[in-house]
Amino acid sequence: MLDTRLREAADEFVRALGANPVVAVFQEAKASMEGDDTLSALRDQQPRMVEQYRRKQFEDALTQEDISKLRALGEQITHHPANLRFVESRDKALTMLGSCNQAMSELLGFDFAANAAPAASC
Amino acid sequence: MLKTEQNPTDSAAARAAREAAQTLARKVADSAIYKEFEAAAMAFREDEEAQKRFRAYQNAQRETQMMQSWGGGGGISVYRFRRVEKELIAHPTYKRYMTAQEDLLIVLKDLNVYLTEKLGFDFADLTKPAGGCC
Repeated sequence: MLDTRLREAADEFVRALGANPVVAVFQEAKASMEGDDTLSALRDQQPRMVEQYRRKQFEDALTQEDISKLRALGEQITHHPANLRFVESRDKALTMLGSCNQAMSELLGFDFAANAAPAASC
Repeated sequence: MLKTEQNPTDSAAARAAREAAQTLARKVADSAIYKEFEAAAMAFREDEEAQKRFRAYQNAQRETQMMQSWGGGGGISVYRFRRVEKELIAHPTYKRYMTAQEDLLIVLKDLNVYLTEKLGFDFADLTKPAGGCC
């Protein structure tokens, strides 16, 4: 639970980031990517197809068609307009967000993001 | 006239965001938990016995890893490593430092969860330095 002073400063930081056009475009692109039904359906399909691919590979029953289908699905996801827009806007926002993390880290004496991020899953 | 794209870190909005980031970091640095972390870290650095135990721990850790990578002699070095580790953990200055670090990490992670909820993206996960997994 954050104390009031910290929460107020965090709210101010969120407001300042939201007022930055680069970050605002990224937020909007992320929301529209997550809300895109076609892209979600393709994403849901992917783990199932990968599982099927591995099973067939293990059974030595993998066909060229299976390989092509999985590759085509990956390409459909990568080249989906909502995904392209998300990736492009994220890359642009990263410079800005990274400079904020740097500003925080210089004051704290350690990398804020490296310590505050959720534990990595392998 | 040619239109040039502005550097995203150079605009007034970017400067305002960086200033807000600094204000937020200052609030963290002003907190009792951060001050205790700094004091505990300093005490640990200046405590000769704690430093001696820490170096012994690091050496035992290195030795154990080396032995294991060679595929032998693990038993004795693992036993030694556990003993040295126990001695380090039992040292009050080290214990204080570890507790202070854990308390500060909880605040940092809570802060990031709050930011993530408000921003709609994970600020720390997105900006943390790239590193290898495991």
